[in-house]
Amino acid sequence: MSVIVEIRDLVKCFGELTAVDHVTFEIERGEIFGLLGPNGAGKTTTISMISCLLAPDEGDVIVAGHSVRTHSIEVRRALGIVPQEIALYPTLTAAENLKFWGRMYGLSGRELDEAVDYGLEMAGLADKARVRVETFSGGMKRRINIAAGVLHRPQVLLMDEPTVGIDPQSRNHILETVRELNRDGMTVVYTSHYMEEVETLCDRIAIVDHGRVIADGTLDELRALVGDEDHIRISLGDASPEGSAEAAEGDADTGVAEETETPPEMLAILEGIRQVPGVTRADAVGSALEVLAGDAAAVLGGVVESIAAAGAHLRAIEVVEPDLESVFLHLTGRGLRD
Amino acid sequence: MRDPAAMGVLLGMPVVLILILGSALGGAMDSGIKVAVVDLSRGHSTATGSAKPPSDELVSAILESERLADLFEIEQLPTERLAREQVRDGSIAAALLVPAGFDEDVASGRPVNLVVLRDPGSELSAGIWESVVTAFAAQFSAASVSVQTVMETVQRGNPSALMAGGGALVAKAVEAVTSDDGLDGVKVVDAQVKGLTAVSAIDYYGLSMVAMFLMFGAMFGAFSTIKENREQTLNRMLSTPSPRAQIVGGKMLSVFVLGMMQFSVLYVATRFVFGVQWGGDVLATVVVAAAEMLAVTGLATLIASVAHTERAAGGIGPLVVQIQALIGGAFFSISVLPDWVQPVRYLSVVGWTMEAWGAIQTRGAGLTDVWGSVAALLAIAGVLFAVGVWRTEALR
Ligand SMILES: Nc1ncnc2c1ncn2[C@@H]1O[C@H](COP(=O)(O)OP(=O)(O)OP(=O)(O)O)[C@@H](O)[C@H]1O
Ligand SMILES: [Mg+2]
Repeated sequence: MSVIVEIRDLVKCFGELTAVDHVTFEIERGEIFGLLGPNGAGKTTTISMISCLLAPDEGDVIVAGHSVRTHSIEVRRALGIVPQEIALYPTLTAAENLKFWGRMYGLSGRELDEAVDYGLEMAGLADKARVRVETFSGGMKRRINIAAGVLHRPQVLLMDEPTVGIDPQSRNHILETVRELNRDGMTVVYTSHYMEEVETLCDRIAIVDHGRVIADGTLDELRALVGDEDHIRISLGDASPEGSAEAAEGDADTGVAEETETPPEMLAILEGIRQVPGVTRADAVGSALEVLAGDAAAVLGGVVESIAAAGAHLRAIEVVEPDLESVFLHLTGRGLRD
Repeated sequence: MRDPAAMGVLLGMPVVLILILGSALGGAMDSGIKVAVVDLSRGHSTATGSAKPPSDELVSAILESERLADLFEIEQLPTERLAREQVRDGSIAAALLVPAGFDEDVASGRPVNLVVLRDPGSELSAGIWESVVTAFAAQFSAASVSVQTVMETVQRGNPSALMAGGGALVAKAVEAVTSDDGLDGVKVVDAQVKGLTAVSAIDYYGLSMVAMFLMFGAMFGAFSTIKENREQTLNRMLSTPSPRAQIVGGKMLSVFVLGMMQFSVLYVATRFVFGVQWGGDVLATVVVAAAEMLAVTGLATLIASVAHTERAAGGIGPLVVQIQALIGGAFFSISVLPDWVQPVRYLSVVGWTMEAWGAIQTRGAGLTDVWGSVAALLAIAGVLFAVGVWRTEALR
């Protein structure tokens, strides 16, 4: 495999804030690369520097052999972009939008017409070609937004949170589209703060926080960072009206991270669990609890007892494979979304 | 600019304003301007014999002229002090002082010096008076006649009303003193005031409103392309391999084309429906409009780059246009303001536009005469655009 995007020691500051702080990683040709991080981690800023919208303060990005600093036209030609915000003309129809963007990427004539048809097909909106984009649902806009970025069959597709705020059906459509594009040989950089999307989609992942890459590698490599201890995830009735751990990590359709203080009663429960022999660590992850132990079976009884002793209502308890949430927690002491 | 409401405002508003301003101030043209003559040479005359002293001759020629009576309400005042008071309190626009040594100077062929006292608030009316006086006085001596103007420093009243009819009055005055059956023995030596076209309030405001609304239109158009989609579509556009110059140039071109369309509509409407006199040189008029459009586009680029949000830009834009229009003389002629403030008009795109259009309108100026204003507009366009682009880059 060859490296197609090389990010070298990239820095970008906005006044006092260092939004991207010496970021370095490489993306291999043909892979789906995930850029995972909470809100404000610096994902969009990094993507903007790759796509020549922001000039790096320090460092460089090499795309298909061209530096963004010296050969930005070549870089832009190699890239397709799906911006985080819908970047379409609302008063134009779906077909008109695609035609416009295709032309901006240098397509014309037959090639352009074919690309427009391909884009409409890909978005599953061929029957809505002559409908103004402003009348579309959020999911339909997102799909056209993606199509506009791939008309020219770029070598690398940069996708910035393409599934924010849409219905599950559109989301599945989009994830399937990404896989298809990748099967056709397109390298995809997929930015998200939904770890389950990144987990299922991406070959390799970089986790960013506060402008830094705190870990990168394949999912297995990242999981290995947390060690080989067992993970026990616990949902509490009172604190978590939604209930299960799945809800907490499942379809968080808001995508809004709330900076919540761990409530005192939760702290008391955690303190109790930490006293259970065999437990090496216990943290609050949003409304759920995450407990590490050398042997889950040996501590479960004690953990349940201590929760009951604290007067809390246990909703669910399960032993899980460590996921990216666990990795992020392990590395930062915070949850990804909470 | 697919928005019909916006189009209606940009095309309809200027027409409405031209009508309102033109008719509200048009009345000022009919009433005579109040002026006075003070003969200070009386009793000092050394002229003897049957001949009237030249000062008497001048004063009575002025007072008795029927043609001047059409334009001015002229009265004779006994003292300079009274004249000054009246100029200052606005009851007269200007006063002519025939100085004490006038007759001696004429007799001995020395340069003749007349003094016009005037209210800075009615400069144009006073200016007409001054021109007429100069023309009158010229016959009395082979020597040069100079008119010294003394500004009285009080301003009140409604200067713009006097102003509005000013152009027409200049023309009438000139016609009066130059026509063959004019005053006996009066010859105009001073050719400065020749060749002016009579303009009315509607002519003045026709030009100024078009200048201002072109600015609104171009600003609006520029924002809708530069700013509205800035964070989204513009970013996407800038990430395509199309060269930036081409992208920005294309946007500017569409703004420019729309602006010229707006101008065409306004020009035709004002000229053929309202009879606004635009002057003879259509090409020069169009060139000035084009230069204005470029300058406004530059201004819009700058505003878009400094305003952090589209909303802010939308608020700043109209404010800037109105200030530009005000200091550029769109609402009332800047010439009514004191001399030291007058250069502010050169900070205004509207000011430069009005200067050039005004010259085409009243003096029959052509392309070669207005190139200075056009160059100034292009320079403004270049500088603002460069700063705007630079600021935009700096923000990235
Ligand atoms: N143009 C800008 N000026 C000032 N600060 C900025 C600018 N763009 C981004 N930031 C700040 O830089 C940090 C990183 O922002 P960025 O948009 O890259 O985060 P992100 O990871 O994409 O987050 P999100 O998930 O919310 O999209 C944030 O704190 C943000 O407020
Ligand atoms: Mg982002």
